[in-house]
Amino acid sequence: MTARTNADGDLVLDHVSYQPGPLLLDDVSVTFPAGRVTALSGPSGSGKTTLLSIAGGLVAPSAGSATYDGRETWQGDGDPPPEIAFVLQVYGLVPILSARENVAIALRARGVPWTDASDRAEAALARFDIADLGDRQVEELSGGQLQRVACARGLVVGAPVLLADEPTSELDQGNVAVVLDALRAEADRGCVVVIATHDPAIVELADLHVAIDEGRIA
Amino acid sequence: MTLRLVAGWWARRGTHLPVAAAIAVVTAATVLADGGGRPALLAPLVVLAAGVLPGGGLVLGVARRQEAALLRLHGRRGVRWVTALTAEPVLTAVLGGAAGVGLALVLGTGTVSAVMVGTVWLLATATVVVAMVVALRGPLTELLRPSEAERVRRTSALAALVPVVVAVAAVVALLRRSSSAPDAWAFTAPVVVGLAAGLLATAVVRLVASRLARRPGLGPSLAGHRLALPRAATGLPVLVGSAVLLGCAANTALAVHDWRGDTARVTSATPLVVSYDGPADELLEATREADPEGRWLMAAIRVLEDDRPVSRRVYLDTTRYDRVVGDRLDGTAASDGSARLSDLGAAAADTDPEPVTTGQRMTARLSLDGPRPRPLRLDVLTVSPSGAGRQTVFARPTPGTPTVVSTDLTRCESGCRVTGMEVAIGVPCGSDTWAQPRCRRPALTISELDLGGLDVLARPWVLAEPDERPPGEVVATPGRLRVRPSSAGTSYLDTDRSPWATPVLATTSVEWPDEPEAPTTGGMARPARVLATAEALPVVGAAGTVLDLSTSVIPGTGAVARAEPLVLARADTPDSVLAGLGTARPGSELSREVVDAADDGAAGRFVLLAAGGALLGLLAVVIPAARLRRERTHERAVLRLVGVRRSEQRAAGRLQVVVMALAAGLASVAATLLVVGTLSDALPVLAAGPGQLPLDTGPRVLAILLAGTVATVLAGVTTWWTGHVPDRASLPARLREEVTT
Repeated sequence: MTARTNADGDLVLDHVSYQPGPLLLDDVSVTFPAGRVTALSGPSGSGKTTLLSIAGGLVAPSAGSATYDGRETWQGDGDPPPEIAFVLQVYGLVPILSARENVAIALRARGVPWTDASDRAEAALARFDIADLGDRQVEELSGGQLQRVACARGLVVGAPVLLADEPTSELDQGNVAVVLDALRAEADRGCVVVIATHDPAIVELADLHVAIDEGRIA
Repeated sequence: MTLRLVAGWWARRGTHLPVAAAIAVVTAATVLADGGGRPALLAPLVVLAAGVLPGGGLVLGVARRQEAALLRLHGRRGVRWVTALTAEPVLTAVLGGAAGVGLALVLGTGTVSAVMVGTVWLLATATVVVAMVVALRGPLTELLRPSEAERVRRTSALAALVPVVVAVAAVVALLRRSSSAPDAWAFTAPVVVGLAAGLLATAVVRLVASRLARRPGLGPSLAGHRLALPRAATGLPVLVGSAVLLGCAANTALAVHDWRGDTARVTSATPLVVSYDGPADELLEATREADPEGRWLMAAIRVLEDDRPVSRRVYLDTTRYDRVVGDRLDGTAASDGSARLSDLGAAAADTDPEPVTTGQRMTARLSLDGPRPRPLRLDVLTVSPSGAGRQTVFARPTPGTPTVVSTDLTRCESGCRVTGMEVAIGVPCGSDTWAQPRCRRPALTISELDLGGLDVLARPWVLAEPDERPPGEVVATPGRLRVRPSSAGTSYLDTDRSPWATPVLATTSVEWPDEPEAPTTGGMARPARVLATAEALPVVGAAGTVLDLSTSVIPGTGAVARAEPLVLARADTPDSVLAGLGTARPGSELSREVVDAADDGAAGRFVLLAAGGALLGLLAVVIPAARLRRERTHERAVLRLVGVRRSEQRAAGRLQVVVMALAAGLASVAATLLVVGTLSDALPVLAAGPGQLPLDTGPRVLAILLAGTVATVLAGVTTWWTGHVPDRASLPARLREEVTT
């Protein structure tokens, strides 16, 4: 399923191509609507992560544009705009911080006072059943635990756009459900939620499905 | 195989090069220390290297974990596994060793023991290899694990004993300092104290970090978390230790430099000196003729008879001292003594000359008590430029009848001074016979005693050597002297010459065997009055006496064999003034021989090796910094991803730099002050002999600043470099596929 409604609050990719050398994305146009969970699927190397990176403003497209709420997500410096939050496939946590601090820092970066940020981080970890790991350094956590910390951090800020790259790849079925519930809740509050995944079950549970293959929308 | 080795080495050159540099420094230091004849100088560098090389090996091990794991997967175990991994660090050690020997040869060195250099190189290489292998131990799963937390914790636990050992060694170094300690320990103690200070600084950094981490601001909080990492300040102790060593060495070198300068200044008192060929009176006359107003020249006679302070003296034309020397010795150990020269001149001028004989005959009028005539001998002891003399008359007076006796004076052609008298009556009695009646002596009354025009009876006389036997008696009144010799037969009489005692300045090291004496330039003994003592005095340095020249010269008499007539001249003395006196040469030449004998250049080599130590200190912080920088790059990308503003990241970086730089700088300054104040005087860098100025190893601002600046700059720059990741290198996009936490 693809959609091109271009309503306010949607994340829109318009004729996006990306060719740092080889052509990784070829004239991709897609809209990720607010309030929906969109599954982005495709085989390895098909361009899912690249597409999410361009959508989130991490990478500048070679051609076309990615906009959110009418504004280009690429800000010129590789930093994502504050409206967009990521859950990365490789977690992207800060090794020197504890699990709670890794979550809280996303809030503190948005000006939330330290104590409030800590409390909210605690709650976010509890949402993924890892509140007891809050004081542990992330270096000490397993892959599944790291993935849940990354999810907690992505969700805790309440950003209007959440881009999740394989957020359940390291999780057991029980925790997959917890994560999907949380992502659904984000969509329910009007958030754009995009999940890059290989998992057909997730595709089934998503509101929309965008398939990509060899850099093109299938 | 070789190609693979070189390729692997080249791929990890960033890790290998600091290790090679450390081995180069150690090897060069060995060559320099051994070639310079002071192998003990190497000891502190060995200690510093022991703090750097294992770290290099550990980092190398961490960098080769994948390779080590692959080797295991291919069936390499035990010795084969270690051998396969050893080739790279050995190549690094070979390159480092060759570079070190080359560097030492460029800097210049003497004969070197190949065994010593080889041994040190082997130890350094083995340290790196062992540390690398230690970092690669453990199960295969751990080698393949991306996180190093477990390994770091295990290594930290192993290293927990090191601070305790260093702290104990530092306390021992400070409390049991001794100049008799082995040279190697004397040179090592500053480093040990520096390492302890560095460990303390590390603890302070962690304390500050824990406070910062709890601060509400994101910048301070981030800085606190980064500084709290054990690996954030790994190199700090070695850096501080090396800075303290450098500061101590610089302070010592400055002290030796000052000592050389002060010795040169004090020994000649003036920048120019002329060795004059002529007697003392001519020397005085020549300088006064050449420079009638006393603006540039001052006559001096230096007499250094032997190494005993009492045998070292100088005669100065004190009337010219203020104008010719002035305040030139201010700031030296002889400053106080120099300031007393004008007092010496005034006191010498105020002292009446001792009466001397003018005639050549001695006449005495004698009366004897007792029942019968007895033979007697009267000796008047004298001293003259010719030496000590004895004017003797013999008589056999009849009791009740005054007898006049007379004789020619001997050795009094230039005038004699009276120093004592001896009266002997009858035959001597020994210790076994003194109680016999024949040993009882009658009294002799001397009613007139003229010695070449001197009225000897006009001065006071006392018994010089009362003994346990009936000592006899002396009753002296002006114009009359009554003497009853002791039972032994002879009385020794002393007179008081103190009204004519020559004023002298003496160093505190002078110990007079008897009463103070002030020989004339010709060696004639005179009683002396010590006007003042000082730690050091012009020309004689820390051992000797200074006398006034003009009142110490007896015209027409010679000088003692060791006398060196000198003309001391100001730097601005016109050539025309010096022309008739002789060839002027730098005043420092007077002391060059003894100074060169005392200073074999050890202080200079100490500084050179300490500079190598500073390089090791730099490597100690650079080796872990490369790894920290990689971590910081990833961390910065994450922070950018979650929206932490760059201004806050920069604030965190600045705070880290400030904390690390301050900790390193303050610890280095404090430890250097402590070391300089307590341990420097035990450093065997100068063999100052008797009479030479003491080496003042007090703190020099420049050296302390050097230690503080080196530590501050190296810690600050390294910390800044660690955190200063370019924006392009820390793009959040790099996190997309990066396999890490």
